[in-house]
Amino acid sequence: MVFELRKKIKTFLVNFVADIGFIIGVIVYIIPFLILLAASLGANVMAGRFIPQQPRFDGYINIFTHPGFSLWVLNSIIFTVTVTAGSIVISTLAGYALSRLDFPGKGIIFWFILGIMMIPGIVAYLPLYIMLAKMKILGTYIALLIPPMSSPYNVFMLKQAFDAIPRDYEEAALIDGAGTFTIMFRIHLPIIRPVLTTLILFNIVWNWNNFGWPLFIATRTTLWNLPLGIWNLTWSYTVNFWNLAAGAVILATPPLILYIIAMEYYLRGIAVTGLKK
Amino acid sequence: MDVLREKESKKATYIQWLKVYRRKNLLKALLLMLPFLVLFVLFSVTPIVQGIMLSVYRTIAWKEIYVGFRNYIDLFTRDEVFRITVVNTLRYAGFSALSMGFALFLGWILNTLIVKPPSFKKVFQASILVPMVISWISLGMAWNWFFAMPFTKGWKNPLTDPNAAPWIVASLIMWSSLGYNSILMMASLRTIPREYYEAALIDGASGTQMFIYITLPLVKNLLAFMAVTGAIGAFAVFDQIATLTGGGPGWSTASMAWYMQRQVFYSLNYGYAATIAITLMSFVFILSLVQYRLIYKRFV
Repeated sequence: MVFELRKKIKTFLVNFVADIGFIIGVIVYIIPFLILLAASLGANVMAGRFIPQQPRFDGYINIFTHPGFSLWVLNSIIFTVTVTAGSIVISTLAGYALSRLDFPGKGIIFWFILGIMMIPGIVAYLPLYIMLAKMKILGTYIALLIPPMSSPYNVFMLKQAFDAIPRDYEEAALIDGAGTFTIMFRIHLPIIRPVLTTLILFNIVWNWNNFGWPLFIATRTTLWNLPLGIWNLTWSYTVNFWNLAAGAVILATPPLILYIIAMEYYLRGIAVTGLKK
Repeated sequence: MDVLREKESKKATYIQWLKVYRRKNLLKALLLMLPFLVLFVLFSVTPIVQGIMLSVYRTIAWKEIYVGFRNYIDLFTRDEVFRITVVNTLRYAGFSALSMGFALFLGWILNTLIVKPPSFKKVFQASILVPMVISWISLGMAWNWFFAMPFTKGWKNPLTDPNAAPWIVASLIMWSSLGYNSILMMASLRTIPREYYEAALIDGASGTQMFIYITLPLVKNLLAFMAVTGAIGAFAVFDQIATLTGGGPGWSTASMAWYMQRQVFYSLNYGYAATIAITLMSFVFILSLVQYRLIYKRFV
C-alpha cells in the first residue's frame, strides 16, 4: 500500500518536473512568433508588454494596402510553386537515371553532383549575377526562377530513395515486357511516394523562405518576394512596428500551418533521411 | 577443355551483351538527365569556375584589371574586416557543431523519459522544429525586439554591443539548429537494441554508466558526422546576419558570406567578392574532406 502510494507520488513528481521543463522549452521555441503576434496587434513589445492595451487590427489592413505587398505575396507564391515543381520533376528524372539505369560514366557524374552539392549556394550567386546580366535576362522571372531549379540536393535524395527499392520489382515487370518509362511511372514512383511528399514539403518551406537568392537576383522591386520585401521594410522609417509585425506574421504563417498539418512527414523526413538545407 | 572454352565464350558473350546493354542505356539515361544536367552545368558548375576566374581580377575605375593572386594576398594579410568575419564564421560553425552535445542530451531525455499521457512532451517535440520552418526575416525581427526589452534597469540591447552581439548571434544559430539535431539524435538513439540496456541493468549498471558505456560509443561517429555537417551549414550563414544585426555594430557580427554580399552591392568590387567566395568554398571543401572520412568510418 505504502509502496504503491510512493510509486504514484514518484510518477507524479517526475511528470510534474518534466512538464515544467517542457513548458519552458516550448516557450523558448515559440516566443519569436508570440512576440510578432503581440506586436502586430499593437502591443508595445519593446517596452516589455505582451498584451496590447487595446488590440488593433489596422496593422494587417495597412500592410495589405502597402503598394508592393500583394505583389510580393504573389511573387512568393510563384517562386515557391514554380521552383518546387520544376526542381522536383527534373530531379526525379535525373535521380531515377542515376539509380536505376546502368550506363558508362554514371559513377563520375554522380560524384561530381555530390561534390557540387557540398558547396554553399551563395558562393555561386555573384558569378551567376554577372552571367545573367550578360545574358540580358537579369530582372526577369526567367533569371529568378530557372537557376534555383538545379538542385543537386534533391537529385541526391531521390537517388537514395530509388536505390532503396529491391531489384525484384522491376525484374518481374521486365519479364512481362514493360519498358523503362512504364516501370518508372507504374512501379517505382508509387513506391517512393512518401519520400517524394516529404521532399516536396521541405522544398516548399525552403523556397518560401528563400532570401539570399532573390536578394542577389531580383534587381527590380516588382520581382521581390515576401521575405525580401519585408526585410527592406525594416529599414524604412515610415512603417509602424505593428505593420511590420503583421507582415512578419503573414510571412511566417503559411509554412507554420503546413508544418502543423504535415508534422509527421517533417519529423520522419528528418529522422529517416536527415533532410536539411 | 571443351567445357572451359564454352565457359570462356559464354563469359565473352555476356560481357559483350553487357557493353551493348550499357551503351543502349546511355541514351536513355542522358535523355532522362538532360533537363537537370543542362541546368546543373549552366547554373551550378559554370558559376563556380567563373568565380575562380573572377577572383584574379580587380575592379579599378569600372575596369577589370588582372592582378593575379593579389586579391588573395591582400585578403589574408591586410584585410582586418576579413579577419573578423573569419573568426565570426568559425564561431558560428563551432556553436552549430556544439549544439550536437545539447541535442544528444535532449534526444536522450525525449527517448528515455516516460511520462504519463497528459504531458507537454509531444508539444515540446513539435515546437523545437519551429525555427526550421519560419523565415529568418520573421525570427530576426522578433529576437531584435526581444533583446530590446528592458529586462533590468539600464538594460542595454546586447545586439548593439559589439562585444556581446557575436555571442548572441552564435547562440541563436545554435538555438535554431538544436531542434533538427535533437530529432535526428532521438531517431538514432532509438535504433540501439533494447537488449543492451536490459543486460546492463541485470549487471547492475546505473543510468549514467549505461549512457557512458553503451550509448556514447554507439552514437559517437554519428555525433561527429553531424557536428561537421552542422559546421558546414553554418559556414554559409547569411540570412541570420542580415536580419539580426545587419553585420553590425561595425563589422562585429559579419560572416564571410555577408562580407561578400557587402563587397558586391556596396563596394562593387566583384573580383574581391569572388575571392572571398572562393576562400569560403575552400574552407567548406576542407570540412567536407573531414566529413568524407567520417562517412567511411561510419559505414565500414
